[in-house]
Order: sequence, then C-alpha cells, then structure tokens
Amino acid sequence: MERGQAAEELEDFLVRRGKPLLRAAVLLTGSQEAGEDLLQAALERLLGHWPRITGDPEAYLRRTLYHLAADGWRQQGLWRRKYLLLRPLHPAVSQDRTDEVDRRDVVIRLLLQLPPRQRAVIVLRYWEQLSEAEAAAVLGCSVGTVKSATSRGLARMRELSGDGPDAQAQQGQETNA
Amino acid sequence: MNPRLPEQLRNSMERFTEHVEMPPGLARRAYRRWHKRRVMTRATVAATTAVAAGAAVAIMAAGSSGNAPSQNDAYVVSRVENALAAVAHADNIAFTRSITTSHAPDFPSGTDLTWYTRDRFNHIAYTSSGRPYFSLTVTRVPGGLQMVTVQYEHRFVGYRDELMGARTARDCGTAAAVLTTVEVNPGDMTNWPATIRAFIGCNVLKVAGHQRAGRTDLIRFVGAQADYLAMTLLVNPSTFLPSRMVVTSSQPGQAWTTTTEFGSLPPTRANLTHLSAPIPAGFTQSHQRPEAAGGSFYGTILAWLFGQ
Repeated sequence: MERGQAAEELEDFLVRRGKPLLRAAVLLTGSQEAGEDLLQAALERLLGHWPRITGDPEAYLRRTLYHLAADGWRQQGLWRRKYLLLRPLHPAVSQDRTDEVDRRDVVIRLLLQLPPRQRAVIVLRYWEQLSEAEAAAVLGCSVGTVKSATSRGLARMRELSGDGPDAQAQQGQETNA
Repeated sequence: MNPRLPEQLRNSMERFTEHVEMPPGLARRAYRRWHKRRVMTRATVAATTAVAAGAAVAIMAAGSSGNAPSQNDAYVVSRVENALAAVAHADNIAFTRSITTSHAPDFPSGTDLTWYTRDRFNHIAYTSSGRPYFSLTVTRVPGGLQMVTVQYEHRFVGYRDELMGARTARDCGTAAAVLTTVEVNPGDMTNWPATIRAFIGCNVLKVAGHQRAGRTDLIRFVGAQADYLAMTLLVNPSTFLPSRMVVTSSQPGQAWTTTTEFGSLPPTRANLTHLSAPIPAGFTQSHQRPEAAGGSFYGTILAWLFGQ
C-alpha cells in the first residue's frame, strides 16, 4: 500500500480510536499542542516503517509514542539532534511545560516535573492501568526497570509536594516541639 | 507516601485530558511532514555538498593532521583557490548534479540540480521519475537573504527574508556545523576563503592519493562525518577544480549514496534562467516575516531547511 493511502487510512483510524492515544500524549507532554506534536511524530515514524508493519497499527503507534516520550523526544530525536547544530541561531525553548497546565491541578504539575522515562512509566501504570510486565513490554525494558522507575517517580512526586521523608520528619519535629 | 497518590493521579489525569479532542487531519499532516522532511534531508545533503565541495578541496589538501600544510599541499591549496577565484571572476555559473540511489525509507532516490553564482543560489530536487518536487532559491541582498521555496506536490510557494545575524562560534561537529559558522562577504555569498579556513581548522577531509577516472588521474580526498557516513572528493589535477564528490551512508536500514558532479556554465541568457526555479501559476503563496537568523549564508539556509 502507498504511504499516501496509508495516511488516509490512518486518518480514519484516528477518528475512531485515536483519542485515547492523544490523551496519553497530552499527559506525557503537558499540553494539547505538544501532545499533538508527539502523536504526529509517532505517526511520521509509523509512516517511515510502513512497508514493514503488518496488522493493526495501534500497538506500534502506542509503543512509538511512549518510546519517543521516554527517550526525551524533543531533546534527543534524530531530527532534533540535527537541528541542535543550529541551536545558537534560535532562542532556547523552555522544556518546562508547567505553565501550560491548569495550576489548580497540583498532581499533574508534579507529574510533569518528572524525568521523561519516569513520567512515561507513571502514565502507563496509572492512566493506561497496565501491569508492570505490560508496561515493560511497551517500553522495551525489564520489569525491574518499570518497578524502580515507578517507585522513584512516585517518591519524587511526594518529595516535590512536600510530602516526602524530609518533610514528614520536619513535620514530626514540629509536632514534638 | 500518600497512599492515595495513585488514585489522585488517575483522577487528575482523567480531569486533565477530559476535554482533549482529536484534531482532524493529523495523519495527513504527519504524512506531509514526513514526505517533506525526507525531501529536505536529501536536498540539504545535495545542496550542502554543492556549495561546500569547492572549499573542501582545499581542506583536504591541507592534510589530515590539522597541522600546517606541507609545501606540496600548500601549492595545491593555492591552485584550488586560484581556480575557484577565476571561475567566480568570470561570472560563470557553477553547476552541480547530484544523483542519489537509496534503500532508506527516509532518504528517497532522485536527482538534485544546483546552480549558483556569487549572489544567487538555486536548487531543485527531482523525484526518481523526474518530477520536480522541491526548490530553494536564495538571493543575497544588503543585510540578508531573500529565500523562495516551492513545494510542487503541495502547490505551495513560500517567500521569506532572512536577516543575517551575528557570527556564531566555530563548531567542528559536522561539515554542516562548520558551514554555519562561515561569514559571508557582500557580493560573495559562498565566501570560499573563509570556508576553506573553517574546513582546514576543523580538519574535515584529508588527502588520500589518486584515483583513476577514465583517462584522468584525479586527486582523491576522503573524510568521515560519522562511523557510517563517508565522503570522497575527487579534484582534477589540471584545473584544480572539484570533479566529483561521493557521500555514502552505510547505516543499517539507511543505506544511500549521493554522487555529485561539478561543472561550470558560461553566463549566457539561457543559462541564467537556471538561477530561478519555475513557479507554475495557481500555487498558494505565503509571505513569511523576516527573522534574525545565523551569521552565515550556509547557517541561514540550513536553519531554514532544518526548521521546516
């Protein structure tokens, strides 16, 4: 099948089943706009490998989405690396997307402060509700890696929220005093 | 840890994305961007090869160590510079034809043609079936560059003025990076001497003996930009002008070869028409605002290409 025709079929596919993918992309990036960019990047990669893809593209697309996000897609993509050649010519774009987030939602703001891989694992585990083994299969890593990334991610979120061990110890001291 | 954090996460994520809607045309946009990017990649390699090769000749002659060239190498460098200067002063039109054969999905086969003078550059990329699908025309104007791109498949013409910015620090990471740091002199946008100095300073290529091509024994230079990207440049020892440049990628799944032949055309009326790309009637036109860009001709073009 030609890639142009594949794009048309993918368009139909996205209308029917694309919304969950986009929601995941939004969670991974922090905004609708950046989520669309991420999903589009995954679609571009899918089109590049189209002749070798058989069957339902959703699994490939989902895997690519998370791989791109976990690898720090914006900073480290091949094309972006080439683009970095010219970085002095353009003002740096802040990767901190917390400004775009509804400030009322503290939990999401904490999520977006995690490193890309930890964030991807958290979204897979608590949004997609995948098991550790399933999340490991999507990311192409070991179950142990998923476990440790989940644990560190949650711990970091607690720490950032002031609910970590240090904060708890401090609260304990204040209570004792 | 707050034991309710996973539950809060799930609820927050649900709320945060509940109004997300799939925009129409995302896959089509992805296809267009994927298609354009692969075109741009090949065109960038070909265009960069075209403008850089003449300068690269001299570099290689400077040797691989980055030390001062030997007397013999210095002689070659000098002859190459003189030959290029003579071509420029004669107002000839430099011409390159790049043929790419590729097995890489993101790097299509086809032909790229480039014509350039001291103040104008025109590059047209063709598909393997001979259809033009992209062109970039750059004209040097006081303070900057005027750029015109045509995307034939999408019936689109983009106009953009680029302002020349401050010179950037030398970056020897890649040939393209070297080029972005070369300053441009008014009326001489290829600025061979500065380019030559930059390449020598970055030690991009080295002399590798001779290579026979038909009855001619050409001077051979080789270089590498990465483990998988090899370059060979052949220089005619009689004219000291570049004759052919071959860039080969051996990266798994990304194997391609671009062979560029160099020539020079007299500035006849017919030949001068090659300095503009044909724009068929009815194409959508877009005029973009000027932007402060790189400190060089190459930097500005590459920034534009990569920024697509």
